[in-house]
Amino acid sequence: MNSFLKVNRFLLLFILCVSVSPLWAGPADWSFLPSSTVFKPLIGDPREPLTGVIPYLDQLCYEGQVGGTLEMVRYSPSDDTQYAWGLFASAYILLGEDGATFPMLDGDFYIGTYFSGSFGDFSIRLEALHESTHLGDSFQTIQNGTLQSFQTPLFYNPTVTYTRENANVTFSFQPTDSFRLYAGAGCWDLPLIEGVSDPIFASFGTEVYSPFWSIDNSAMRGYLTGSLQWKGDQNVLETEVQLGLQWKTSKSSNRAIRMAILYYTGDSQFGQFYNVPDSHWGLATFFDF
Amino acid sequence: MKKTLIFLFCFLELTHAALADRWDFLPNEPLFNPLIGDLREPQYGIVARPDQNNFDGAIGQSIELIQWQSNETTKWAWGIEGECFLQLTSTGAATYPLVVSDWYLGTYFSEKSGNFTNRLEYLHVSSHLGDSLIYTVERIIYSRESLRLTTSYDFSNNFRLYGGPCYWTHLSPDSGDPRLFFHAGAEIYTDYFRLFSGTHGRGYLTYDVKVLGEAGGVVDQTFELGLQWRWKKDSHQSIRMAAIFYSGNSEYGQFYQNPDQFWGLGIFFDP
Repeated sequence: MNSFLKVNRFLLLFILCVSVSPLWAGPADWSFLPSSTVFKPLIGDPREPLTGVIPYLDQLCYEGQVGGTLEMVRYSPSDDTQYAWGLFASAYILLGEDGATFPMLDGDFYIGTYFSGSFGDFSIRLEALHESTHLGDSFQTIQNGTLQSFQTPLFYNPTVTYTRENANVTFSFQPTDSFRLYAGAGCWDLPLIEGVSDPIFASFGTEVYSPFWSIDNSAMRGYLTGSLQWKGDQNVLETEVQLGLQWKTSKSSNRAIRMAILYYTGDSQFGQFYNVPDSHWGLATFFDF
Repeated sequence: MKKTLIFLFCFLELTHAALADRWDFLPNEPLFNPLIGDLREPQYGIVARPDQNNFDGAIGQSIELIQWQSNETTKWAWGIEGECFLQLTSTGAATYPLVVSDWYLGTYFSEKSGNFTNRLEYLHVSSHLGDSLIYTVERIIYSRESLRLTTSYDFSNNFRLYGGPCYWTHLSPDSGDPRLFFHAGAEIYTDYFRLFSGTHGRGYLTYDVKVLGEAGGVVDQTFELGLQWRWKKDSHQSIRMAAIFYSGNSEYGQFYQNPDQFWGLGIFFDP
């Protein structure tokens, strides 16, 4: 049995155990469609389902993303633990700039489901995730009366089988409101990645926050995040660092606006350019709802 | 960019100074309730078209940034919205190539006085041909901006009417068609009934119509008959499942001149 199948079975067993563990917990409270999530979003992860815009500071490019997480059901036993199941979806667009027009370079779409749990300072999230990537139509051109493309969409490229279907797990440790560590691992879907030597990927990250200061009735704080992602199929390490401000209605609110300077280096997060190196600075605005 | 930042700064400062303790930052619920019968309202959802083997996806939401109360009976709000609408087709073997994707970005002001609510939106939309058609269909550069005023009146918790004029401030391609268009609709709800585990549901029927001057005159109509599920009657989050009938021209910009009529089964997630 190859190592991928071993990992896949382990993940399935793990998901099963975590999913059914509430059944033997004590007296409990169920809630449906809660307004927040048990596993707090990883605000430093470039592919977390969030809404925001990122103009690049050193290139004529703009990223846009819309996305959100809907926690369907939450189970809260009386022992200070919580379990939840939910769905998430997000869309990412990469635009260039050509005068007053912004040609589309790439559009990626994510949809998935997750189980999560929190145990005091620890929390865990297990995801099953579908990703698709689509070359922007600005690459279309007409040559000798026939439609061509400056770049071949991966959909039409017989030499590349690109998939990012995956199962992944993330562990988070947040001992205080000001500091969080997380780490995760996952594997790509085996049947569609023939020829890929290593289907494993891993991530590690941290979030550091300053104390809040008040702005009238609202609260603001500074933050610094670091995110590392290693992708086995390309053997590449992708890094993103954000330094910014988070503005909330109150300290305990889940809703926030964030503005940050970010630096990204690694291969592109956009699927059509998954093996193209990308380093950029950005000025980001995020809306965490 | 600079003008926009100055405008935002002045707007926020003036708003803050004038309204002092009567503003609510990042409120939980929008003042103007979403138009659930409009398939182009910011929402999360999937619509399967069994008669066409196509699937429509919607990913998007409104973000109400601020609400403030100007007097005892009137509230105002300002927010932004972003959404992506995509259409996939099924070619078998678990393959769903992208046909088209439309991207919206906009801002709005809304106002509520009694049973009346009003929303003034400024929306940008661009439409992009899916890469599965890049060698077979010639794309158009579709980019539009519009101003949309919608007035809504809640006769009761069970019945709502809305409508208003809209105007394309920018059209690409610009065919010289009339820029004024109209949008209206109605929402009818049953009373709530108990569902499992103490949750609540209610039936609903919506009708939404857009009358546009483009492509020689178009009437886009949407009917939805469905069930809305909530944990509590007054909670804002809900899941809706509905049967949908749409008739008119395609709402996807790349195909705006093509007639489109379909039956669909949709599931929507209202955050």
